[in-house]
Amino acid sequence: MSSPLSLHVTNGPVSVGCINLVGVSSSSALLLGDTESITLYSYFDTPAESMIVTPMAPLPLPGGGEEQNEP
Amino acid sequence: MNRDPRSTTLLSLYVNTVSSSGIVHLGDGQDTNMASRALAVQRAIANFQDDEFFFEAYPIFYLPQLVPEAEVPVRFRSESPWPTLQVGCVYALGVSSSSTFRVGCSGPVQGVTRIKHIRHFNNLVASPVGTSAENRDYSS
Repeated sequence: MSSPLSLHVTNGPVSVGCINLVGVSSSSALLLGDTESITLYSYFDTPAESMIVTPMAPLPLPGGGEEQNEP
Repeated sequence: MNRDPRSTTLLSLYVNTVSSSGIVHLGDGQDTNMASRALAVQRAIANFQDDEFFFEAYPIFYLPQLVPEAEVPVRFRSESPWPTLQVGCVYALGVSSSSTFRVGCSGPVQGVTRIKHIRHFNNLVASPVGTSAENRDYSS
């Protein structure tokens, strides 16, 4: 077993002038400071099947059956 | 991990809008977990007959979340000889949808957002032949 990787970080001086920000959105983060770790996921689904060209029809129900109608 | 938290000096802060579980946090914090789910439906003709919007009907909302892990063990050490972060003015138009704007130090930050887009053209004839412009009902 090799020795573990050693990472030594020295944080230098940080001086920021002006931040002009339009938006922070969808589980994203803007951090002015220190942190241990940042893990951000984004699942974004816009496939071709997302475009439906039909007359009035309900969206699928949780069971997956498209013909399930409310009694 | 030895982490000596630094302090942040902020000259001015302007945030126009904080909405949809957005967070503006001034100061230190611990773990931050953010989650957001959205079913974005655009319909040509609105249908408010009954509740037909179920997250469970789309796999994107229940697919397992892959967690990245370090390939090798890392012995991490950091030091901050300069104890202050200096920031001028911050102008933010919006903070929304389970997002965080923090001035200060924090623990691990994790955020998950899952968005499903649906465009439903229910004003068109259901013929796959022709372009959408050709299938459009121009009578109304």
